[in-house]
Amino acid sequence: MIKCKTSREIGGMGHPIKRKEDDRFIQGKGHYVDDIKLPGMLYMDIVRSPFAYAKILSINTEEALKVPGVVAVVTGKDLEKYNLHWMPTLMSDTQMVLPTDTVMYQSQEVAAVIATSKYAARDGREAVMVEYEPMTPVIDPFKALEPDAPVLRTDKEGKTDNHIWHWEAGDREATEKVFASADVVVKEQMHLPRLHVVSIETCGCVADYDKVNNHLTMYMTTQAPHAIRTVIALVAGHVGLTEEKIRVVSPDIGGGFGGKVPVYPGYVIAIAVSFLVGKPVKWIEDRSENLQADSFARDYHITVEMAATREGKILATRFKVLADHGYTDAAANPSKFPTGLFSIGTGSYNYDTAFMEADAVYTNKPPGGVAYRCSFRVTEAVHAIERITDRLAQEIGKDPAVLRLENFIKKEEFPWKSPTGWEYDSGDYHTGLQKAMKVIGYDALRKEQAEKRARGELMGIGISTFTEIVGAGPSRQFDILGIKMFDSAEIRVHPTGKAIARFGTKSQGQGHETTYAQIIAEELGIPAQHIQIEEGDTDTAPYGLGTYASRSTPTAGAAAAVAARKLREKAKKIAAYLLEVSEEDLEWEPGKFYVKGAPEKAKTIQEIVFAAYTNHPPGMEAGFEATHYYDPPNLTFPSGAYICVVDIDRETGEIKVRRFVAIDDCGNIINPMIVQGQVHGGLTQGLAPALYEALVYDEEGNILNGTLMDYLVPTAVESPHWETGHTITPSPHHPIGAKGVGESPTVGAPPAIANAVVDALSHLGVTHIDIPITPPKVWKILKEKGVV
Amino acid sequence: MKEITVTVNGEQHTASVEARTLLVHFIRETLNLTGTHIGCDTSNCGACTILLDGKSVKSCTVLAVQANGKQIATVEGLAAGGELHPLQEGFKENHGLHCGFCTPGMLMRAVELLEKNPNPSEEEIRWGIAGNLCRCTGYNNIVKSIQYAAAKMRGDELPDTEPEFV
Amino acid sequence: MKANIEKTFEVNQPIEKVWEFLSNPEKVVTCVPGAKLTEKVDDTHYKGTVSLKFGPVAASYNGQISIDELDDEQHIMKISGKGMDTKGKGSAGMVMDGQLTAKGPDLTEVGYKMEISVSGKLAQFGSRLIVDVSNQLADQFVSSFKAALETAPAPAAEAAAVREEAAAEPKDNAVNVFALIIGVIKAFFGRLFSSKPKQS
Ligand code: FES
Ligand code: FES
Repeated sequence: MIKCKTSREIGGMGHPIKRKEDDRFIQGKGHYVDDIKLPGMLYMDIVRSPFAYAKILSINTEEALKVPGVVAVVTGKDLEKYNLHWMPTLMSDTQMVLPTDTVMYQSQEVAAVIATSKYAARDGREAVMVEYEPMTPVIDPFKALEPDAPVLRTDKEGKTDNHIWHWEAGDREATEKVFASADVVVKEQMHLPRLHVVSIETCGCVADYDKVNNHLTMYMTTQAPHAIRTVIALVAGHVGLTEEKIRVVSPDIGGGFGGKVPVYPGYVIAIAVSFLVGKPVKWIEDRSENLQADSFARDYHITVEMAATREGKILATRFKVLADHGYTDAAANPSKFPTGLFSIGTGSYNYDTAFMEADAVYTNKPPGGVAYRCSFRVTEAVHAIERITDRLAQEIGKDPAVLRLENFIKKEEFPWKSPTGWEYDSGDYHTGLQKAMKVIGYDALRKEQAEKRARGELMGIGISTFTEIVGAGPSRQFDILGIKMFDSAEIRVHPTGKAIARFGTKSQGQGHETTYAQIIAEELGIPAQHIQIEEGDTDTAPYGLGTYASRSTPTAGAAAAVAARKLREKAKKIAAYLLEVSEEDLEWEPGKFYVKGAPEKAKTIQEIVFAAYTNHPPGMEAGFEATHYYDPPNLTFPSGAYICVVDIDRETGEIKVRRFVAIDDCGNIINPMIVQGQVHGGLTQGLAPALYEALVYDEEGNILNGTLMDYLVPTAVESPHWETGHTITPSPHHPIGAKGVGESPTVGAPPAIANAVVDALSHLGVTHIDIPITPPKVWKILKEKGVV
Repeated sequence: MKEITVTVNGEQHTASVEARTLLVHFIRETLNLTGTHIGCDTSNCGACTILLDGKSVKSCTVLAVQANGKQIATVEGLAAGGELHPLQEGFKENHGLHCGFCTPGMLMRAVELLEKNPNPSEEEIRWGIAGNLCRCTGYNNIVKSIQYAAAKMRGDELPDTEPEFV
Repeated sequence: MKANIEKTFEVNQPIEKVWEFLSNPEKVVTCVPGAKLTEKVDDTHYKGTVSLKFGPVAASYNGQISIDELDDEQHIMKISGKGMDTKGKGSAGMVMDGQLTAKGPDLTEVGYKMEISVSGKLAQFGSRLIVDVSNQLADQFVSSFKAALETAPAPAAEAAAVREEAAAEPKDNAVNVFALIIGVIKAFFGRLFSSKPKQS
């Protein structure tokens, strides 16, 4: 049971209070970007390339302009006049807004049609004639590095290959030494396939430029409105749109998962068009465009090795990565981290030697590399370490749970310095795994598996015990385009003791309107239901870097606590004044200050706030407001122990996840109902790549599953009944001891499922299967091994 | 252009539409009932689910003219007389939504589901909502929400809504 | 996106007659669903169009056909073609190897291997559909081809009639392809909804 300091009425931390935002969503009163309708609004649709790599010979807009309702057709050449045809990416690369001569991936934007209605815009789109000269594309990232591969980025002067960057972490020589003398070395090569976030709401915007006031209001699906405002100012400042003239509004967002961090060309074109025609322009992409052109996630080819003693003591790990970035590096990582936080990949185990290196390449695929429910490449890293740990267990014939328990970093060894330089703040891995084993009945399952195996039935048990790294991040290391990755909270308490608080983050379903209110309720004793939370409007909210990579609680949540504590300090002074005692004589209990030893002499927070406006002490500033920009001293390191049981049909290769137990440790819990909900959702998003999802391209760069008919998002039928639980190891440096949780399950589930499937087939000599593990893949193995 | 008359949440509307206008666009753009959402272009996601003469349909797959003379129910009409429908209450009490984008479609689909089967098992609910995608919740709590509503509509004792978070 | 099709079928005609028909692009094109020759560049190069309607996607290709190999003795031929969609929505290519074998005085086996490659809109339908559709088109080719050769000894006039009939095909083909796609979609939804739980 979670212990709460506040009453349920106040609804501070630990209470599973119902979500404040739900009332509007369940009554159809959510306000998403496509719900916005402005007077005179125009609609935009986008002509896209059918080829992965081609020269544009001509774009004929004549017929399109004849379509009733079509107002304009915009091409790269039009944007070139304003120097708006290219834009910077978050990784300091460049990306086309609209091409002037070459298309670099299938479904790339080629031209935009503007019309008075959605349907007219679509008609106009069909009427635009583009003449292409297709070229041979580079699709395979390994081939992209071959010396005779055509150089794709001819726009970059002096570029002679398709290599983007090289990155290293750890100690190469020391690692080689350990590997050279180790008893056991295991090695696997794996691909974490290209994925799409598939938030059920696609991306879109309404760009509303007011010529008279030279002011742009940009309503858009963004997880980081402030950063977007700055980016727009950087891109369009030269045409007069300076930052004070820009307001970005992120309304309700229908799921983000990292896919709504990037700046897509469609947004920029909409702004440009609105700027030119002086009318609001709406652009809402359809699902196929969303799948085919918006940022992808993952697409890491990883070779991972582990060195160990014969008894199973892990000694060292080595990782080599090839990252396929598409035609530009538009990843959404902190600037100094081209591979994001991949270096967390040394895992939950106590050893001191590791080396990692990565190279990134250009190919003729859409750009991206977003942090899909993931702190920047953590999913890739965790998959590699958790798979190779199982591989070691298999090699030396040890139970994978036992191997893990023997190698875990111990509770008392924290803070723990990882071989790649991170300082893990806290953890209790043994308790987590033991709890998961108990809940699922591990020993009984192993017995059952042995019996079934003897009968020829295929059953597997998979474990994943991951360490996460979230809450980017400390300003000495973390920035995006130079802006430090702090986050902010501003609290205003009104005279009657009710509050409004605004944040630099932006919920996309995480429930900030409830959880932030709970943090403030915890600190000030004002009931959570009387604390209004606002995010997403850059005109009113304090500057922040936004919501992704599970950073909201570690950063903005901390900011809320610290800002509230500033207010409590002020409250104490006012209470002392009102009670005519000195501050030292006062004691706090949620909701009031009272005189030590005389609890009946008290002032409630409401009385105190009222006094701040009506009777504040002489010399003190009136009002009751505070703002805080929180710069975390370290990241937080949540962890989890997941166990999965699968049954495999030996005739068809069909995999059924029979049980899945997830024990998460995200430090102190703000709202267990919401934490559990986040875990459920993340688990289904972890199941998806493990068994179903991957974006598939053929050798010509055609995307073969660019619609929801072919890209298999799990339904309620595929998704099992998740069993969830928690342990609590507070973060020692976070003001409320919380760590962040949203992404843990998406990170931790795939290796648990993959390990379970491999475990079911391990007696056949199977050591690894790349995800998604589909029935045909399994069936083929069963056939090769003579089982079918 | 064709003139159609439909009854939406009990109110009659007459409007002229292009023959090709999809019902979902008619509902959202002409009637300004934006609670019904669009999540795909291949009839897979179910975000656009409404009731047409009491049957749940994906309104992105129906032409507005096909609805002529029919009864349409959307999420906006679910709370009768200001009181939440048991399903709405179920979703709120059981954390059956995160971003809320799939929710209107889920609710409308569940209305028909419970009408046909007032006491569905977990398995039956899962199959029953298999045409509606949710990317946020992992479905556990949607199932729980529908079970809660079913109990309430049957007049049974309400199931516990505390999270089973051991 | 590529689809490979390999077919053999028999025609009740002597090998020379079949060869004469098969090796003449102007004749054989009448059996290719939706295809038309528009220009003869030289003896081995032609220009032509192929029009197909895949449900919502209409594709009309302008292309070139070249006869890369024609061995009258061995009865072996190799033809390749490639075309661009007239609206800039994609491209398609095809390489075909054909061979005739005499199975009797009046019986010839036609064997061919075709590799079809599609880029752009059509390719996005995914492999399932392209393979299915290509197979169906190939079947239509076979029946038109047989019909053209077997229905009657083909004096010039009748050959022309056959050609006209075949030229009328595209519409039908378009319908067939559409029907096929509907079939695929129906099957998909069938899978989604068929296993609704039993009502109590
Ligand atoms: S919008 Fe996706 S099914 Fe209707
Ligand atoms: S709640 Fe976001 S899609 Fe279901």
